[in-house]
Amino acid sequence: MKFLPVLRLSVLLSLVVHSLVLASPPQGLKEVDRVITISTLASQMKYDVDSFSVKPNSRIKLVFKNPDSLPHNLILCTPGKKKGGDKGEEVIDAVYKLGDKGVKMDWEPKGHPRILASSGMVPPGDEKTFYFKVPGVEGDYPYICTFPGHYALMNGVMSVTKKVIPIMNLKYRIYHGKWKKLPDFSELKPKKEGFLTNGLIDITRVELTDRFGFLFTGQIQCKKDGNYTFNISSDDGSQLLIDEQMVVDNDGLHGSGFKSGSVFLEKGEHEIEVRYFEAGGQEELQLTWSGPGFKNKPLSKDLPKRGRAVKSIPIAPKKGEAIIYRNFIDGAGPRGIGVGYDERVNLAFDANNMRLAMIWHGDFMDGGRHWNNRGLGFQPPSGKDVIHLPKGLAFTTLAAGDSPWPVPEYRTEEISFEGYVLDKFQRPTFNYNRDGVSITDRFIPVAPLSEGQVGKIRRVLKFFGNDPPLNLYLRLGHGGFAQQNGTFSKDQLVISAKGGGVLTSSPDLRVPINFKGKKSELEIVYSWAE
Amino acid sequence: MADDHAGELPVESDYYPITTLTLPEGEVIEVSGIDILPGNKVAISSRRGDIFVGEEVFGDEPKPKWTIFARGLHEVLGIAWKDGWLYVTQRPEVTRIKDQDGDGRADIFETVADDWGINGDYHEYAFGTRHDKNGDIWVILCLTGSAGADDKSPFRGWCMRVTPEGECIPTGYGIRSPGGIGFNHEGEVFYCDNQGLWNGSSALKHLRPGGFQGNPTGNKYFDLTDVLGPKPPEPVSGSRIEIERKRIPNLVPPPVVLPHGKVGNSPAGIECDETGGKFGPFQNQLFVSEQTHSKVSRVFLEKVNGYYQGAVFPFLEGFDSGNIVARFAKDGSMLTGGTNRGWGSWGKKRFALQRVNWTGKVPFEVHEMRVKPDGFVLTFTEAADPASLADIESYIIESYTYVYQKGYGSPEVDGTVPVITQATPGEGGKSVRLTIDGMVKGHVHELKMPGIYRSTTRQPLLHPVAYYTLNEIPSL
Repeated sequence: MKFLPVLRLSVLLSLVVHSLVLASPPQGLKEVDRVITISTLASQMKYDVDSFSVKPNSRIKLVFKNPDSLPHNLILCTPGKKKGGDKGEEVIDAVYKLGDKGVKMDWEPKGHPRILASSGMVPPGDEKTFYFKVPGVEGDYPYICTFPGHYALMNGVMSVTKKVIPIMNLKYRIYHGKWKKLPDFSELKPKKEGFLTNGLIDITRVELTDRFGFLFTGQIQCKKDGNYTFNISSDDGSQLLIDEQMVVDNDGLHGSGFKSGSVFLEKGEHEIEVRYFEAGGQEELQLTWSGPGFKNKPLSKDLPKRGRAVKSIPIAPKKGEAIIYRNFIDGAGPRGIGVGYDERVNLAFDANNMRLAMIWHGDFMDGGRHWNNRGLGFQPPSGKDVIHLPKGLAFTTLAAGDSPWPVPEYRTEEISFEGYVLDKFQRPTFNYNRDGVSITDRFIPVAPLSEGQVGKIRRVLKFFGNDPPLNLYLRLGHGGFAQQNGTFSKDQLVISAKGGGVLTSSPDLRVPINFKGKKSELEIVYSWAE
Repeated sequence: MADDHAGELPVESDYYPITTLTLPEGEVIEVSGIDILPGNKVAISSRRGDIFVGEEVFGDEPKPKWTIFARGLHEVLGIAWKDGWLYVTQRPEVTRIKDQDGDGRADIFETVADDWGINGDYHEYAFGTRHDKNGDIWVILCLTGSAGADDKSPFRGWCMRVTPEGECIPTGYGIRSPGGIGFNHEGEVFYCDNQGLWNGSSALKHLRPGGFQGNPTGNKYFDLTDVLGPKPPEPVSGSRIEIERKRIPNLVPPPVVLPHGKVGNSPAGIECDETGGKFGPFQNQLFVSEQTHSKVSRVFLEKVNGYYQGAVFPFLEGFDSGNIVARFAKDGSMLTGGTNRGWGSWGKKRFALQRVNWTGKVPFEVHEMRVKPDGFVLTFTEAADPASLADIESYIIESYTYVYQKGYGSPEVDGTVPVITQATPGEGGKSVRLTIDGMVKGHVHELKMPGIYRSTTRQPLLHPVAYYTLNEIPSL
């Protein structure tokens, strides 16, 4: 007798243990290509296998077990007209039409054109084996229990495909737990299990990002005798076994780590087992294999990429307009508001502290970090010559012009953010309020005089208060600025101010806000040194 | 020939077909909020922070025309139109925006309230409701990293009520990782919390003012406010909600557990059917979007001993992307939107806006499931075959609960098999009274009904399963 490739070892065992009356294989199916076992799940009204793949024209032996307390059958149907979600509805219709005869006929409309093969009704605790040849036509062949009312929950799909499936009968089991190395999964109860019909290892079916494990089992097909090499990259630990022999051991807590191992394999099917766990942080499991005549074929859905950069999504203003990007901006904080101007100058505002946080020129921002996947972390500006302005409060009251400036806080309670107003060019004017003084903060881009030069940013601040303080100051910069003809410069930054005398007596560049009655106005120009 | 259709097996789309609405080409609109504007226009917000307004979204062959209303907001998770303003709940604040100059694009962006912290962690989401009857917007704040409560980001895990005056009133706490928020027909506020730490299974929860939703991580912020009284005692890890609620009176048991893996994996938005029958027979029931399974579930709630509780039923699946929000429109159709960015979904599109209409045909479903001291009463949308109702073999029931623990999620535990001793059909087969031995307080009661048939067509229930969360048992 020829060797039967088996789906699971337990099938063979169960054949030995139970004294079963097997339906003898019909002519032409004495030798089969695959043995498939499907079981009902006790009191769940479900099959344990909801999908599997077979090749066209292959010969199948199907063992159907019913440990449930109700009778069930498994009827394989030919593909229906319905696209997706086909549950052999015409067969079910025919079952209803059997009416009172249904019970006697075991709820099976024998001879129905959509029936490909059937287990017959299997009583509780029993099992039946049947044989069939897979049709030559590729497609999805649903299977259902036709006992009235069951099909809606008891159904699955046999996918008939010519495609070479990397790992056949690939089953995954998900475990939850916190480990520093691979646990003995056989001692644990899986949280979830299922089949991956495309035959590629995939850890995305877990809904966690941390503290989980996977056990994958299936078979690979070796076309020749020879040396085979398996490559694993994983974060955290993983192991790969062939026919229960360890081939790659990549266990332990680690970031993305690559290992490989080789084994001599005979032509034919071999059991493959992959164990994996993730403790915290990033997660990854990538596998490929090489053998006689092929190199680095994928065994997983996720594969090594060149570099790890996310897809870039440049954000740019429309012609003549500004564009806003509110997000976690590196340098402007979690309440960052980036503004990009068509004049190729940009700024970022920190709404935790009501301060102008950065200016830069050239490209504005890249949305790739926040608009791919879950959007982790802070995104820095895209363009050039980023100038960081002082952290902490931008406005405060001081005893004297050279009193110490308050130590920066994560978020100020002194000033409240009140939003912004866009002009017809989509340019924002920010509004905030400090103890009854309303402040409007308007930024206007200034285009460069000629091409190749860099533009400027004009800022107009207006203050209004019924009872304004006499000792309110704005801090423009920190550290030693050089003064020349009313401009102040430090490294790349050049600042000029109109509407208030700039104080340089402290380590800061400060401007006192001088109210005339209820109002004060100030104009500042930021530019880059030549 | 006459009864040709009698035996045909119904599918969900016979009653509730899904129509995909086209979105402007070249735009990525991961729909995260939907509201209806005057003139039957539809506003949709996106995770990228854009707001579009569409016309001609309704009708048999909708050809929506979209215009951009606003860009550059920070991960909008809730929009609400009121008195000429669009109120937007975005990650850092509730903002109201308006098109003052009438060019179709918003120009005023006014901060209404921002009295909570964010620290740069993507998980620090803020979901907002529409306005309640007082004009307040309820905002729920996901924990830092869905597991922590950073000092820089106060009130993670809390519910804040934002008043029209911009006051931010702490209203509830104990939240883990919400997926959406909404009202029932009485204006009470519910939200969905996802399975995780201190949350054995995802569940629909009731934001009783002052109520503790179960995850104590954010309770440290009791140091910052006394509006809700003193900090409650810590729950004991490894216990059960049913046990801990006796120790912690403010602990609100989840009205409807959405059994993890069965009903879904990531419940999101909540929308109440107040269409007055335009959407079918489920007036005042809640529709819960489910992101992972790309579907919408249906929830029936009743109030027992002062607490909301009830059952969840499958409703409609097969949406294009991961469902995040739903909104009923004036014509009684339900607009649904979602995305699978960051968290996979069964529907494989990256984002989608779709519409569900009722065909006018009544599906054969369990309509309501109400608890009795010794069982349940189920009503049906259509008459069931009384013989099938009376046969106790038509039902399979089991009960289970989850460990209430610091660790992530829980398996189903403490499983029991209550016994249905009697099934008494009501008049005309429109209801059945189940008498049950061994109901367990605090447990989900999972009831399958494979043997029930519609009297006219002998078809089974469209969805022969219900999950009732039994926190309270009435005395009468």
